[in-house]
Amino acid sequence: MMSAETRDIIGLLAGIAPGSSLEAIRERRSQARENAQKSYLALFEPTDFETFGATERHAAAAFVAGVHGEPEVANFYLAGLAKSVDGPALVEALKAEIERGKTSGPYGAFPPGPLSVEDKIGLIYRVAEARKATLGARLAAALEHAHLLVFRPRDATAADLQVLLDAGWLADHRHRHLVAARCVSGVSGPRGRRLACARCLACARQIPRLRPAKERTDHG
Amino acid sequence: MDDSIVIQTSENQPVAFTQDELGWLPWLHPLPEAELTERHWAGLVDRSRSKSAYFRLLVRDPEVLEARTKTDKDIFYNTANGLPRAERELAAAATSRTNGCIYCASVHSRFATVHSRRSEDVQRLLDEGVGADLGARWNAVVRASVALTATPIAFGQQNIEELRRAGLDDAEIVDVIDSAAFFNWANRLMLSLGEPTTKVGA
Repeated sequence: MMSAETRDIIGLLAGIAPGSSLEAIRERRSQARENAQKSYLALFEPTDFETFGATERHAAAAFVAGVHGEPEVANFYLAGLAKSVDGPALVEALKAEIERGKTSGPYGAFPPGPLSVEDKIGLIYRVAEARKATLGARLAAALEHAHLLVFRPRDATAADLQVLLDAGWLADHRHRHLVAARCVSGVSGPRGRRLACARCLACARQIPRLRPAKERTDHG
Repeated sequence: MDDSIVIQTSENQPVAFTQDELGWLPWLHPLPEAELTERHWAGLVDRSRSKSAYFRLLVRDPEVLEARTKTDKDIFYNTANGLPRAERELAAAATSRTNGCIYCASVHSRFATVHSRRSEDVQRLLDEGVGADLGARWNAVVRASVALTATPIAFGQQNIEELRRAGLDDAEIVDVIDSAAFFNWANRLMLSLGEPTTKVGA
């Protein structure tokens, strides 16, 4: 894999050339830039993966990027999977699930009341039964939750967290959602009349940040 | 720590967008203040954030919270140059209105009003939705935020051109993008980890 320590992930995925005017604009928000990179490193290259392994992290990120219709970003995360023993089968399963999960958002229901007229119905995504063996119950639950967050975040309930707990994710430390890469876009050079980089990676926005249960007795 | 969800009674759930102050109730257990270590305090960045159940929940992952908080502050509070604060808040409010985060929209519509003194226009965004006519410049910011909130992302050349016609330079446009993008993260955290309540102080 690339060395993320030396290469800015948003710059890489968005195709922002070092030394470009867009890069100079990003420098004006250097804290935002540095800390977006730190978020990426904390999520994908942590000093301790604990029980949320690299494979699951990359699988979830690839799925999120994929259902956003960002195949290049999805492939970046899929590349991190392919090398493992079960990698090729997992990559195939994820690609198939990405196709099944594609839709348009946001949709979902508001609390019953005056906003109900704005309720929008859409896909309630569930992993195909045939692929659950390859993905595993825990990752399947994570993908379903990720889809909920990407497309219909206003539908989320406490019960959805219970589903994750039941699938073996711990609530104790890592109940967060992550941004793989936030949003990058930009505008072009000195003449400044063309969009140089509409590669807005708000796409790889959120994936579940839950940790699989291993030592649940520690947390009773 | 208790590895279970917290069931809230939802008696005081707001059913409409508002600029009024709301509370937020977590569905997972926040860390008790007494259990915060130095690493947690560093993750919170501002010690006052320990009073918030939301941040004491997120601080279970202090590395990511610290990076997230510093990103947040640079995007919204670094007003040394770039987009006026009011319009960054407008982008956050429009994003929250689109995703349906009543809590986030309440906070950032209030901030938009404070910094713009255009309370009625902000209220129209909440009441009528993101199609409300708020004048060319605000319309451009709202439309760009909505396009960035769509999945797949609908933001493109036409948004850039509209923002430029409204007088935004490239750096200001990047501030719009950052503000809307950051709230696509924040909305998902607040919508999926807890719920709003009209009971302030919750």
